[in-house]
Amino acid sequence: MDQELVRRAATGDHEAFSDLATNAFEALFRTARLVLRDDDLAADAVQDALLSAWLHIRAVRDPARFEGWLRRLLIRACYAQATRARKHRTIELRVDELEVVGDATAEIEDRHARRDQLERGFLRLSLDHRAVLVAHHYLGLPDLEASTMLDIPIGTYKSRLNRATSAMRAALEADERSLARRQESLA
Amino acid sequence: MSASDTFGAELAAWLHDEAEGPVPSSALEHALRATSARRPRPALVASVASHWIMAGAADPMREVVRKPLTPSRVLILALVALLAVALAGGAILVGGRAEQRAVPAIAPSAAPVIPPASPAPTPSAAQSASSTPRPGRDASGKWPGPVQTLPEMAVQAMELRPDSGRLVWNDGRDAPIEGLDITRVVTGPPQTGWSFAIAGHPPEAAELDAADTVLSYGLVFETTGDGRADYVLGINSDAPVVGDYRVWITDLATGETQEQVGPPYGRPIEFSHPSETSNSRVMSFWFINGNVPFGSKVRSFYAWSALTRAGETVAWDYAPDAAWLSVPV
Repeated sequence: MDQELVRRAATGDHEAFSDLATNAFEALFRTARLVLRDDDLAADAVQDALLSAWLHIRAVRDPARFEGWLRRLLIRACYAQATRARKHRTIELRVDELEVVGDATAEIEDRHARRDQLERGFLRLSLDHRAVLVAHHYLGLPDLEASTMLDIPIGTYKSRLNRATSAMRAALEADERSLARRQESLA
Repeated sequence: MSASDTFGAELAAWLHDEAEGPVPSSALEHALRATSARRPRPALVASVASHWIMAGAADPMREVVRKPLTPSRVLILALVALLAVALAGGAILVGGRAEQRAVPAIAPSAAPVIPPASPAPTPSAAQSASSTPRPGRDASGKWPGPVQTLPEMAVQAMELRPDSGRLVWNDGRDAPIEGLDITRVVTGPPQTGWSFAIAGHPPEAAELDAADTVLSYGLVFETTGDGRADYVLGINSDAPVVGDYRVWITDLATGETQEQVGPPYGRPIEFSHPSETSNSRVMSFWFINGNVPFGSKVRSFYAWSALTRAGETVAWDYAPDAAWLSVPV
């Protein structure tokens, strides 16, 4: 991250901020995509984070910490998006057109792949747990930096990371234990 | 490399794969357009306002942005506090009036109502019923719960697929909402796993406000051969943590319920929810290692789904309606 760009942006230079945003956008979006598991929500979260960053950029006194601060805004925006999505999305009560249902048994068989196990396990985690796993395993942040990004004490971060890993393992092991039996029962 | 390292490496590789894919540049354009129309807040205001953005015990930046309370900052804080008090007062006033007008008819329920075990249907009971309920509804036309309360339940044989050895029941389209409409039921033998296809991909638990809308799927089992429901199991979208599920199984004879709220899942029954995989329309339940906790074999069963809104179940489906699916013991 170019610290000079941060300094210029802090003076109100929108062009400098545009460069900062453009440089950071892809990494921010991919992080939000993992945490939220929804590209639309991720895009909204990144937009919110960038807007917050622009509005509050004069609060940044140390340009070297801009990147971490931006990630932190992103995580907050992810939480806000998740909450907003929960509150505003509703089921439509409607009569839909007839639709041919795919082969249920084939779908069951297809889900036995390890990637699907990982996806199922990850989706079952809470947003808190997903965020710590993304901070640790995807972003590869040191503990202090990760806890700052997530706005939690470092001790909480470490214990949350342990719990998230355990929850992920438990979900995968449950899948593995049942695999043979499931194949037997449904084969 | 330890097992922990291996798992971490596998998880990291999967996360990197999942993060890949096209990035919508339109989001950046929108963000830049939105920011170009605004000006950054003055340093003082930005610092004050940024406390809510950057608050946290472990925040090294907090020390950087924290400033001593100057008279001007005290004045701003006092004005903000006054404004907050005024807004809170207004909210209480308006809320109080709204509360007087709104009288909730039915409190939201945590789970679909599970009726107690009904007595065995007898011909005399059926004949003496003053108003025979229609299939899938009680006498008042409402949802009777996962356990159908008809005087008599037919028994339907599932179709044996010679190629796979699976037992299949095609239920067709008979529910008004795709995400509830159970169209096909599949099972073993042996009776340790059950799946059913739904006509449409249902919303994720995280998309639903559990205080208002609860989506549930489940099965009802008959294990003794007397035609009465013995166990009900289900999965609800109403766990306290958004996006989690409540998985439960009730012994109708004793009324005892085992449940798991949120992860780790697997007990009392493992499941695969359609919302866990993109575009999946299959709900599966199975007992880990085949340990069916009934002490006896499942003789017949049926599947159910329900949508509960503001405490009232407004749509549902049984597969099949008014019948058990018999399975070879």
